[in-house]
Amino acid sequence: MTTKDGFGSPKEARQKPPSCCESGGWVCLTFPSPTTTPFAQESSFSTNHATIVHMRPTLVMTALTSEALPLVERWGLKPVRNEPLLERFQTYGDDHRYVAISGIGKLKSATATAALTTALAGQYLPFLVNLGIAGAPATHGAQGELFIVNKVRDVATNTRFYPDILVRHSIRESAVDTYDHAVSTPPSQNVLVDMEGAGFMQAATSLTAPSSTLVIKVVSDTCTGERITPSSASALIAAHIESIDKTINAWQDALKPPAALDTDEAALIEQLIASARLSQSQRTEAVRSLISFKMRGGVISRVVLPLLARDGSSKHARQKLFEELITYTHETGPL
Amino acid sequence: MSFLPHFSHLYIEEEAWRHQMTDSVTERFPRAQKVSIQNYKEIFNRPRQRWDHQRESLKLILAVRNDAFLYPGSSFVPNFAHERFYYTTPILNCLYACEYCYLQGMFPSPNLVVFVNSEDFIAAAHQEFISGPAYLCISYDTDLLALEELFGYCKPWIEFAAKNPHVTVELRTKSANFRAISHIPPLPNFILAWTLSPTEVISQFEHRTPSLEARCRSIREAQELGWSVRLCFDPLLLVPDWRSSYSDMLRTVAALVDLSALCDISVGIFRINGTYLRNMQEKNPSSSLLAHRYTVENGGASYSLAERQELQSFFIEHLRRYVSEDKICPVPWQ
Repeated sequence: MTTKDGFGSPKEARQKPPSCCESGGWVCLTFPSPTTTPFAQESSFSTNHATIVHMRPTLVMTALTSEALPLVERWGLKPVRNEPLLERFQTYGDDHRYVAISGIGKLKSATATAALTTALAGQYLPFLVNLGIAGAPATHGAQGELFIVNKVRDVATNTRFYPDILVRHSIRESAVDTYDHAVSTPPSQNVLVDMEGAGFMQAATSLTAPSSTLVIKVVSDTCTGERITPSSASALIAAHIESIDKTINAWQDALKPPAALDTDEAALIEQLIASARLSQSQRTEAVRSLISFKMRGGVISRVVLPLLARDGSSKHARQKLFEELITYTHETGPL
Repeated sequence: MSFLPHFSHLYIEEEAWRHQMTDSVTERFPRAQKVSIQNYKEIFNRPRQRWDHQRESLKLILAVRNDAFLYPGSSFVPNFAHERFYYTTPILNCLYACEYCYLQGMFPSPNLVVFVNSEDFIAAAHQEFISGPAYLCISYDTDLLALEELFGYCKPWIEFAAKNPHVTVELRTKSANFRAISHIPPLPNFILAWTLSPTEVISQFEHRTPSLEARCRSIREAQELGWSVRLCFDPLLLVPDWRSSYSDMLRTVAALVDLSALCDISVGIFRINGTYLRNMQEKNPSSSLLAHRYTVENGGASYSLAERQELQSFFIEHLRRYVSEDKICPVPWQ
């Protein structure tokens, strides 16, 4: 298995911009505020309106800078800064795609995955991808071969994780065993070998759905103690970058949440939420009730417009407005 | 890019590899990815699974059940005057995706779990029913007839019924797959119970199911071969224009099925465990059917009393035009 010492650490890499950074310097990006929208969870609710619904972000976790760079370059991402929780991890991003470097090992992978998933959660938790190199016995995979992982096993605890494989793809599938140490003897079974997969899945599946996780590995060595250089790790990933990009996009597209509200309806609800200064839980309940009301054949504008015209200057008036909204949407509406 | 076909992945319990059914299923899906698991629950019961994602590409989980082969019947389903009423679950979940189905509220995933040790289910039934008459439903949490060509579960249960004439076995289905068992001689104590709905309900809410006409053709074929057939108009739903939908359906059924040869006709209003309904609403907020304002009483959810009475009396009144009163078995809503 790959011995990953000798790679540029995330801390080192943070000192200077990567070569792919268009600006040649650090650029600050705005992150969505953590958990500011109604459903920071795996939910089927959706609208088309940008402020009610943030597009579900994609977060790709890698262990090493060299594993991240091909995708950072492909997507034209820029380093993200000025976000305290994320300062600890080297993260590149645009408005909806992020690539982060956790460091080596399952604990680091789990910690970074959990922290960044929470930080990026808007209405939806991000779609989570683990991308990296892995070892494979020569009987199982050749160096440079690309795999999608359908089973991740933590060798230390024998805990098993199963990312849902739902979307059509043309990549070979395999199980991966995650070890706490570098492996220099090939495993007897036909599995890949890594040091992060189980940590990533442990964190990812404690927050999001198994169908919102994807593990992609490229074989770097035959588990016989070869030393992999950063440039060769990058080259192995880069050789498949088009396929990796296509697969991540296909997953993201296929599993995007269905729209329950049209743009005008979402805009009206957003206006109401703002003017009535609804709390987080009130927002959740209001949107849920209005969608249900619509599904029963109700017309959202007929409920929301009169409420928008009401005086919401006092806390008492706003509370009353919310209660009326809920009562009306629960009790009214055609079949 | 689209979703993988159903059963693109077979998750197989280590213990299940030894069973003949596993061999036949893996042969049937030679290109499927085979993933070894220790226990079906580690994949079927995973937390935070997304029903709406997974139903696009159903996976097959092959497992071995070691206990709980038979369950006492639920109060939400009719027992047809049998004191000892049981059901069994050789398969969890269904190929079909009916929006009103309680399975969405009961199970964390739509993936199919198939218990490959059918012989143990049969042996447990032999043991349990040795003492006297009983009524056994074998296709509640699934549709065994729809899956017969894959798993062949109906045949051994028909053989069981032949050896146990004091046990009435009901096979409930929406499928049009009678041909899968048409070669087997019929038995008076093995009832084929078809659930029928208006075309509008089938197209809007009973996703992936055969048309009303296709089901009726299967029924007719079974009747002609001498099988005992029950019709289940259950659940009746308050869809838009429900009066014309249900009267049209009865006209179609009367034209295609020999109503005089039926054992009976079960009629039930949509009703469901309140907790299941909440789970289903959470999983499918865009469903107009589930968004209805149901009345919840004693843990059960259904239409209001007035709605139930109106729907049931309308339907039974129309049904009486085609069949005698004694064939009609209204199902109490709780």
